[in-house]
Amino acid sequence: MPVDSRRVRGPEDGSQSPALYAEKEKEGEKVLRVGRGPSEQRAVCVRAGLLSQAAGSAYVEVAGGSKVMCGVWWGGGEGRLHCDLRWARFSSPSTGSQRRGGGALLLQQSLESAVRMERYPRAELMLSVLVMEERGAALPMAITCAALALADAGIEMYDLVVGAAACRGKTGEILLDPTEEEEEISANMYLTIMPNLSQVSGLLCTGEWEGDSPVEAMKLCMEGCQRLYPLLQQSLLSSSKKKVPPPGPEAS
Amino acid sequence: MASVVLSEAEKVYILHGVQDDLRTDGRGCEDYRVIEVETDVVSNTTGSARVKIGHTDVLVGVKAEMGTPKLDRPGEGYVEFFVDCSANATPEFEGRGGEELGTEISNMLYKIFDNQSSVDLESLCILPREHCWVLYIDVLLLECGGNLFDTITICIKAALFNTRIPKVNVLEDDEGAKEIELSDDPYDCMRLNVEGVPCIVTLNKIGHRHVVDATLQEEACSLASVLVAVNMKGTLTCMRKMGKGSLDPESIFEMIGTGKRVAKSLHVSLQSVLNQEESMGKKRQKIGFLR
Repeated sequence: MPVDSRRVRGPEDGSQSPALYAEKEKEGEKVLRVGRGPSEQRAVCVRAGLLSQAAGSAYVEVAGGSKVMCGVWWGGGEGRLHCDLRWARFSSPSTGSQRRGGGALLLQQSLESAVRMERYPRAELMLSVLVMEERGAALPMAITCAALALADAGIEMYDLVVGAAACRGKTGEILLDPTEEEEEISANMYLTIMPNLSQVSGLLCTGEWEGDSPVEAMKLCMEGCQRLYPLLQQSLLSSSKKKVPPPGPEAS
Repeated sequence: MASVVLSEAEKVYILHGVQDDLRTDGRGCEDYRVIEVETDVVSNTTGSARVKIGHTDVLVGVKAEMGTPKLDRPGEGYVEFFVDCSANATPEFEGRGGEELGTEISNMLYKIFDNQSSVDLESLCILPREHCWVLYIDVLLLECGGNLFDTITICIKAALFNTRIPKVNVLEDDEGAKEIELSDDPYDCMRLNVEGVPCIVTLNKIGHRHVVDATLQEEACSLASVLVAVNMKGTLTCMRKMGKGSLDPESIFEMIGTGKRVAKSLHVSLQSVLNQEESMGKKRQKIGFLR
């Protein structure tokens, strides 16, 4: 291997950081999820239309959890939905984990089935999603946020896309809206649906799912999505109210 | 991916056929085309296989090399995937054209092998934190004729079955210095247990039904498909929706059921073919690529 002579080289027989030798908490002894039921979601704060320069934008924050921001712009290309999913460098304690691969594809496919791109044959939509903090289930949140931003921009869609995550622990219990630690040790599922049409627009699951557990987890995710839906509608309503000034006395 | 252009009438013809459980090539909705499997085709590899389904042709080579275990998994070896889309398959793959598809497939492969049961990674470890076997699984697409994912995973399973990793011994002297010694006997090798290796079954939604092992023409009629990776025990190790369309949840549940059923018989017949091929030993007639 070529060596860069300008760099200070470490000792030849270097060792690993002691932090890596440290015993991790025993997985079996760990109590999963305290203070929250298995099918209970964390509280969510949603806001649409907060970026002044974007055609549409949205921000989603989960209580004590992930923070995602999304903006929509008109691009220079033709008939294309261009999605860009970024994870901030400081979004999670460990840098660059492998399980993130393919997230952009899920985002793209989930939105493509909802956005009526045939109505914009001569336009390109640029979508930029930034995950600022990842504390579990950030990917479905990012998709929800992206759909909200598209709706805020006034793009024609069949329905909003709402995402939810579930995980399956070692003992077989299925938990909705997992935290980062819960995601790490188990099988994960990300599901996005269009709640009004009750159609699945995106699905990704990894890890081991035995028997009927994938079906159960999907149902749980769909319930979670349905619960989130009214909240998104409300935020869209309030952002539209802000954009459109109240009718003056002469207009009425 | 390679694409075909179909007229509206052709699409309707395929769609009506699928509705009546009779596809254009005479198969039912849950039937595979004839699958040709041949192992040990490339001599430079630790294990290799070639699988041909219809007009889809895939070659997989497994190379075992010694490396250092990953920091967060000191007691395990690891697997690396690389998918090469040859420009022979379709002109679209020329230059960097195949790169996107290649990354997409290798991402998917990492996902289906990202669990404890697929490959026994602990058996690949030689010395914790210091030495392990790294399996480089290289997938080469020779021809694309629909149903790429299934073909690739079948081929990977066959190649892993064929893989023979040389045995090594760790010797330790009085001062605690360790030395790795390779066995002198070339036939003294370790084999991988492929029972947990999953295969992908792609289910293409056409009309109100779904079909397995779609041809290019059928893929052109389908707006959405579900990929289900199932291992021999019937455990789902990965699932993903592909394509632009959306799907009814009920139909996804049905597709999971079909996928598991089809994968079970696929695994059984693949295993029996692999065992049969191996029992023939040197007497086996090599078929190779050009016929």
